[in-house]
Parts: sequence; structure tokens; C-alpha cells
Amino acid sequence: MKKLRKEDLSLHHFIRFNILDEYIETDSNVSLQYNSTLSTVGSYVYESVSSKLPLPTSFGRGWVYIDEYGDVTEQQSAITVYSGSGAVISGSDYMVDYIDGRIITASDSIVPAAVTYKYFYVSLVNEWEDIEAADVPVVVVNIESFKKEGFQLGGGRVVPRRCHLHIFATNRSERDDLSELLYDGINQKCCPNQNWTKGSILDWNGTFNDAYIYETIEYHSSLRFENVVSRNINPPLLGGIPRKNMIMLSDLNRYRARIDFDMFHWEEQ
Amino acid sequence: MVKQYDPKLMKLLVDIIKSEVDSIVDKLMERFEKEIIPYEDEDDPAKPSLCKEEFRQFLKEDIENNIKIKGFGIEIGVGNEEKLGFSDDLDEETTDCVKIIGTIIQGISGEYVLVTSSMTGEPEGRFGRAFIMPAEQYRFEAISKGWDPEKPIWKFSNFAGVPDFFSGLNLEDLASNIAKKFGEALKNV
Repeated sequence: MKKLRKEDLSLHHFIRFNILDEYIETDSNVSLQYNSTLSTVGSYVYESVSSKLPLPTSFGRGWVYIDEYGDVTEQQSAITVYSGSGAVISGSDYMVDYIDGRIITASDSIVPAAVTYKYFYVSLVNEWEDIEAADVPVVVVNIESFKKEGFQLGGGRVVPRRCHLHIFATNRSERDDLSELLYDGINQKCCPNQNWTKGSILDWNGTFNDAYIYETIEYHSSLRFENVVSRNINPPLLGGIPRKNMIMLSDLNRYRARIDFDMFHWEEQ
Repeated sequence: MVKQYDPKLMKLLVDIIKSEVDSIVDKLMERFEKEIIPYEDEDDPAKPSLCKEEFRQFLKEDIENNIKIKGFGIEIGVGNEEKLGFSDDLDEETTDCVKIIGTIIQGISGEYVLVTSSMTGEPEGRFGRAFIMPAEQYRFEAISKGWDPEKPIWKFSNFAGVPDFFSGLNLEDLASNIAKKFGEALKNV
């Protein structure tokens, strides 16, 4: 994994759990439906059927997999699974697919019927092309450019990267709340520059990666954020739509903001 | 002791900077050529390359009006926020070209159709000026409004924009030109 990817993951993790933790919501007593197509002998898959909008499992969201920012072990309190009689099923009897919102059991004698879980209300994505697939509110993390500069004296170098957070919200208040929260969350702050030697916290299949370890990159400073500027975005061509004699369909570009900032760290070698 | 700067000298410096505005505009136009023009649709009757001169003029006037003495320094502003869309309130007294380029710089998510005043056949004014509509909405409205229902999707749909268009310009040569001119001018004061 290259350094840029590691920094991207570290920034995502920081934003997700340290800044946007206010936007973690709970969906209670959601029905679980057996999925025979995905199930095999020894792996029985149950999918959650949520009525929440935006869908908790839509792009850039998912179920909460750690209890607190900084935790290295799987959540213990974010997810509760119930049997048909309403009894709580022990966490050791199932696995969780946090991305797609599924419960997987190894035995057909355990039949989960409902689940209560915490999920990320704000979608966090990397690509502009993913915004439409995500449903508002969406935050796009974009690390744009970088240059590596040596120090004037001695070895080592500073690595600055230009970053943008693009915010797409459902209304003006949500946009203002999100942009202020994100601005305050990064302005003159720093976050650990993790090494991710055993991969990210979730595996490719959405389950918790038990091999995950927390370690920062040796001889590298933490990631620092400076020159943070927040502004609302109002694309001028949208301003001319003659609303009076039209039934307006939803437009995800209507409530937007952008936060520009520099992310940098020092390297000793 | 606080140094006092002679207002006459500051005014002289502002005038020298104003005489160098074209070189700032040239740098921004280079960016325009490199980062916007390549993505335009050749067949688009409202393509950005047709707006080049108008945009250059907008930048020139904008920079000239935004050279201000602040404390002991001079601040050069560029990019009228209300006309380009960096603001809550949009300035209605703008042109189709500035709107089109302002929108491209901000980026737009989703598929849109660009509706221009020449298409609607409406008189100038809020309704007559250029705007974009979500493609789905456009198709819905086109028949009742007599617009072309087959109008292609705007080429800059789903475009991530150029968020750093106005920042990070290398103005070293400009600064040295200004310093040189200022030095010469001081000899005559």
C-alpha cells in the first residue's frame, strides 16, 4: 500500500469516527430476511430490510464497526441481533457484514429475526462519480495534488497535499451544520498517520478484519491540517431555473459547500 | 516603533500593480485553456471557448476592482464570488458566459442539460438567461415548453470542477516586475 493510500485511509477513518460521529444514527428492530442465493451449507446469510432513507447500506454508508475512535477491536455495543422470540443472540454466534448490512451464521439452528444497529447517516465517498449513487447527505474526500520538499537544513522532507471536502446536503441547515462540523473538526487539528500493515479495519467482504493492528508510520509525523477554508457553493447556472411554472424534481447540487485545506506531514528519512 | 507607510507611495504601488493585471489574467487564461477547454463539446453552441474573451474581460475588471491597500500590504482579489457561485447569493447581473464558466469551476454532480436564452426564445431576464436543468427534469418540461426534446446532455455534467482555479498561481516573475517598476518610480518621487 502506497503512502498516499495510507494517508487517504487515515483521513477517512478520522473524519468518519472523530468528526462525523455526531451523525451516527440507530435503526431499531429491523427485520432480517434469509437470502438463499448468498447462503451455502455452513454459511447462512440474513439481510436487513430497512425502511430508513437514505438507506443505511447505500453507497458510502454502512453499519458502525467500532465503538469509539481509536478502538482496534470489533464493536460490542453497536449491533444487537434478536431471535424470533425476541431473545438476544450472542455475538459469538454470527458474523456481521458491515457494508451490506447482513448477519451470517454458521449453523441453521440459529435463526436471527431482527437487528438493532448503529449506522453512518452521512455517506463518505472518494470519487465525484459516486455522489449520485450515494444519496444526500454526501461528503466527497478529494486529495488533489502533492509535492515533496526537502528541508533547508539536514535530511528529511515535508509532504504537503492539497485536499477538498465537497459537501452535498438535503437542505440549507444540514449543509451549514455539516460544513461547520467538518471545518471545526480539521482546522488546526491533526490525526494519526496509520501504517495499515495488516489492511484496513474491514475486510473486502465487509466483515471485521481481526488481523488489523494500530500502528503509525515510523519516522513520520502525524497528518496536520492547515489553511482550512470553508465556503458555500451555489453553481450560478442553477440560479436561473424558472421555478415558478415548473414542478421541480430533486436536485442534489442545490445545497453544497466545500472545504479546502492542506494536509501535510514530515518525514525523517 | 510602528513604521508608517506613505499613502502616496502605496497609491503608486497600486497603480503599478494595475498596469500588470494583464499578466495575472494571462496566467488564469492559461489555466482555462489547459483545464477547461479540453473537456468541452465541439458541437456545443455554448462551449466555453466561445466565452474566452468575455471571461478574460471579466477577470481583468474583477482584479482591477479588487486591488486594495490593507494595513501595510496590498491585497489582490480575484473571482467575484457572487457571480461565480462561491456564495449564498447569486448576482443576477451577470452574463451567460460567466455563469457557464463559474458553474464549470464549481463542478456539478449528475446529468444536466444546458438551456440558453437562444433556445428558449424567451426575452432576456431571469427566465431567458442560461441555466442548467437535471436531464430528467428537462425531458419532462421540453414538450410543454417547445424545447428540443433530444437536446444532448451538457458535456460538463458530472464534472468535478477546478476548485483551485484561483489559487496557487506562481506570481514570482510578476512580483519581480512590480518591484523593479516600483524601484524606478521611487527615483522620480
